[in-house]
Formats: sequence, C-alpha cells, structure tokens
Amino acid sequence: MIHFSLRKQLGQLNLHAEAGFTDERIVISGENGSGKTTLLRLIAGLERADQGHIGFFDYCWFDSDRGHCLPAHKRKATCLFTYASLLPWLSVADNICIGLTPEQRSGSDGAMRELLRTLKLDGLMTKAATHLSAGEAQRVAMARALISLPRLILLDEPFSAQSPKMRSYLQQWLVELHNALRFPLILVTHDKAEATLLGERHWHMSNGKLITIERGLQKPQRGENHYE
Amino acid sequence: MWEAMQVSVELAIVTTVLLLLIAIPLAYLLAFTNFRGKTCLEAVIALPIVLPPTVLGYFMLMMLAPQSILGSSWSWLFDASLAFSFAGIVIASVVYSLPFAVQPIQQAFRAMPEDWIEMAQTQGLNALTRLHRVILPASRGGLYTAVALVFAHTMGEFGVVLMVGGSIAGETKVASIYLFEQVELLQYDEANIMALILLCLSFIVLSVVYSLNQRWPMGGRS
Repeated sequence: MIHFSLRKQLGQLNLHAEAGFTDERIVISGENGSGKTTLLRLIAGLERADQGHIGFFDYCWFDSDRGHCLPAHKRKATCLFTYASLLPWLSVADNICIGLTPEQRSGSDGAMRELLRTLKLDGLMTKAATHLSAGEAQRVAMARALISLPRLILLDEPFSAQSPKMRSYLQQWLVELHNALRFPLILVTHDKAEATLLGERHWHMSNGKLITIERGLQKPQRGENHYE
Repeated sequence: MWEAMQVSVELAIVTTVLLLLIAIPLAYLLAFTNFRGKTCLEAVIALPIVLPPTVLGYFMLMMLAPQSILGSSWSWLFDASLAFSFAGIVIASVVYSLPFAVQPIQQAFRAMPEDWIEMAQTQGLNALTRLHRVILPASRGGLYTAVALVFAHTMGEFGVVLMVGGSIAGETKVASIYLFEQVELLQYDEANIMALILLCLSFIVLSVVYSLNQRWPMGGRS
C-alpha cells in the first residue's frame, strides 16, 4: 500500500495531494501546470514536499514531522519522464543497464534481449545512444525502466514520441505486462483514449489539488470530462 | 638545462595528479550543493588568478617555514625542511593552480543536463556511483581542460616557485628560473632553447585543449 499526503508551495500554485493505492494502474489527468509532474517527482524523491508524509508499504519514505526524507536512489521508484535521458557516450545496452551492478548485468542478458525484441528495438543493442530517433530513445528509456522488476513505476507521457500505431501497441503491451506482474503504477497523460485504456483508477489534478475518483468509477462522470 | 626541465616536468605531473584529486570534490561541492560561505570559498579558490605570484609565494613561504605549524610538523615527520624543497614547491603550485583545475571541472558539472543525474538517482545509483558512471564521463571535456591547463601553468611557473623554493639545482630550479638565470648570465644560446621549448609546449597544450573542447563541448545534450 502506498499512501501519501503532501503539501508544497510552488510559486502561485499550492499543491495538495492525498491518496493511497496498492498495485493498480492509476491515471492522472489535468491541465498543464496543475502539478501532475511535481506530484510524481515528490513521490520519486526528486523534490521535497513542505509538509506531509509518504508511506511505501512498511517503509516510511517521507515524514516532514520527523524531518525524514529517504533519498531518491534508495526509493528506486522507476521513472519515465518527458526526457529519455539517455547518456550519449554509452551504447543502447549500457544505457539500459546503467542501474545494474556488474553481477546483475551478466544475469540479465536474456531479459534485455527479450525486452528489446518486445519494444521493437532489435539490432540496436550495440548502437550508440546518439544515433536513435526520438521514438526509439523513448523506448530504450522504457527498457531501462523495466530491466529489473519495478517496485513502483511513475510514467509521465511515456509514449509521447511514438507513432499512433506504435503507441497503441505499447499501451496494450504495458497493460498485459502489468496484469501479469502487478506493481504500483502511476501514469500521467493528456490522451483521453490512453487514459481509458490504461487506467484502473482515475485521478484528476486541478490547480494543485488532487481529486481521487472512487474505485469502480472508471470513467469520469458526465459533464466532468477531464481529458479535453 | 635538462635537469631544470626534468624538475619542471616532475613538478607539473605531481601537481596535476594531486589537483585532480582535490579539485573534483571541490567542484562537486560548488556545482551541486548550497551552503553558507560558498561564495567566499569560490573567491578564495579564484584568488591565485589575480594575486601577484610573489605575493602568493610570500604567504606560502610563511606557511611552510620551519617555525610554522605546517613546516614544523613536516620536519618532525620527515626530518626535512618544507621550504626550499621539492615538496614545498609542490604544495605551492597546487595552491597556485587550484582555480585552473576547479573552474573548468565546476563549469562542466554545471553544464550537465539535470535530468541525467535525476535518471541516475531513480535508477538507484548512490552519490559515488553517480559521480563515477554519469558525472565524470559527462564532464570529460572539463577534466581534460583542467589537466592541460594545470600542466601548462605549472610548467611555466616562476614567481611562486622562486619565493618558496629558491633555486636549488635538481631540487627546485625549474625551467623558467633556469631561463631567467641564463639571461642574467648573458648565456643567450641556452636561454633561446629553453624559451623556445616552453613556448612550443604551451602552444601544444592549448591546441590539445581546444581540439578536446571541440570534441566534447561543455554540457548540452547531443
């Protein structure tokens, strides 16, 4: 169970978010600048909230009252944000394995090949990261995110650079993968179809406030279309 | 002449190695953290750029003198004087070239896209692994520049070394001091050769720096 209650002042925006979930696929929608990305960054540990707490199953990740804040590299929340953030001096394979120890790496060769095949990146393993298209780079970042079993995965517009055909293929693949492995997943998207396809629960962010829609109510209520 | 050249090269190599070890943590501190007195530290590091070498050399000599804390503990430890010795001019040139090492590395650290470091964090790399796998490789341009500048700067050192080291043949008499002494003795043949060697060396080092910067420009995603 992940539970968080967070407050942060960001210039004019007063972010306030409180929610909890276990291993569902959460989709967050909302306007630009409403604080969606910041919420993901707070959970990942890339930014620090002014007040509140984050509990990850039995662990405390953040508690402002006790002054406790677990650094991002110990949280190991797998993130896939707007930038692919590939390191240009490394090959595709080295980029995917950046977070692995040498022992882990030698044991994950099969997993990597499988991942590259599924993500339609065959033959790119030894290629330099600089020679990729934007779509390929984004899929390599996806492979990097999933090379080890994620404990929590945070996605911010993860398919934005893909062609429509590739996008729907990847969405389908992600749903199947998640159904098979079940891990906590939060996805930020502006795409209504993507939200409907991927979301098991829908949250909405408006002006810094997080509105959670109860479980079972899979679609936004009439007159409350959050994806336009 | 070759003895002086050898002292200079040895001094430059030792200084460069020591400065890399000192400058990387300092640059990391200045580029990635905020603390009280940061501006003050930056100013202190930059001081040798504007300070006349003789002034710096004078303070260094006072610091290394046998009566000083550093000088007396050194002689207690190694039974040798720090002033007018090779070790003394190494310490002096480390201080003298500090900004030439810290500044390019700090600039390279700052120019690196922030999302690379965030990616490394969320991939579970701790600060030391991040430095080794992401930050240092991304800053190669700055590191090479620092090495080249420190080496060249130390090869041409004159005032500081003269103040701290005097001119002891084979120990503290470096190339530029040898050049000065030859001119005083009106030995223009030797002076010509030494001056020419130092000129060529500086030119080569700077050419290397510029070509490296072209290959790995500071920061920016490619």
